[in-house]
Amino acid sequence: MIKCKTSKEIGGMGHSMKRKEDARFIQGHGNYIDDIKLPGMLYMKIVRRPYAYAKIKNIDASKALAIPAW
Amino acid sequence: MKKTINIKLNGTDHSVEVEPRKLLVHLIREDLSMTGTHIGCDTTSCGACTVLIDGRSAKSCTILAIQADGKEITTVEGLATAGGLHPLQEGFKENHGLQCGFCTPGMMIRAVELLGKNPNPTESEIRWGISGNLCRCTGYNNIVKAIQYASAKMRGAELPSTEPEFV
Ligand code: FES
Ligand code: FES
Repeated sequence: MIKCKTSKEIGGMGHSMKRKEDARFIQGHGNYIDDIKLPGMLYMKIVRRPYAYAKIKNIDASKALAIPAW
Repeated sequence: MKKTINIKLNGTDHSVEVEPRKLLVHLIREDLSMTGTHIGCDTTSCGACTVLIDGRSAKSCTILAIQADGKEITTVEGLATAGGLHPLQEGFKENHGLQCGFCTPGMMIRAVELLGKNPNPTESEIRWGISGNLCRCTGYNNIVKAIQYASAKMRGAELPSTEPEFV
């Protein structure tokens, strides 16, 4: 183990610094994307093409649009 | 057909109507707006959703809300007291036991039960004890150190050094 020769006060070279954001994370107040609720939020699903290599000529979204979204 | 259930979440009684298919984690996060409990996988793999049910840790994505009827649930929001942070919270903070913090609530809740049953676990007992919880960024060394720190603190033993080791 190597002993640090500098002091924390001079800028923390060779030292770990305490993080400012930990207090909220360890108390469950992180507010990750999935925690955010805004009015009128919708769900999204990505539909991927069934072919590895193809040209998109058109997209028929009628079935998706027929689903009531809210 | 909805069913009314009664649960105590972090000390507060709730009577809620739930669909029988609703997962406990969704009840906690959506109906009761406590978002500290996370969903990392939804398939019992990651442990981010771990809560205490009557003192036992359980993955709340794998339990139906109706199964928690009549039970007492503790989540990360219920760890700190008026007296301050829980020793585990302090341990994670002091030992750089988190980076993004996504796995941390589950890790700490799991460790609550672990230390309750085994107040002075060895390193390998800690590693085995948290083997149902995945961390994708901190790495487990500091998480183990955090739990060892909390163990010492809860036993009134001398606290281990929180200085990082340079090797
Ligand atoms: S969300 Fe429950 S184990 Fe991953
Ligand atoms: S701190 Fe990011 S997953 Fe564990």
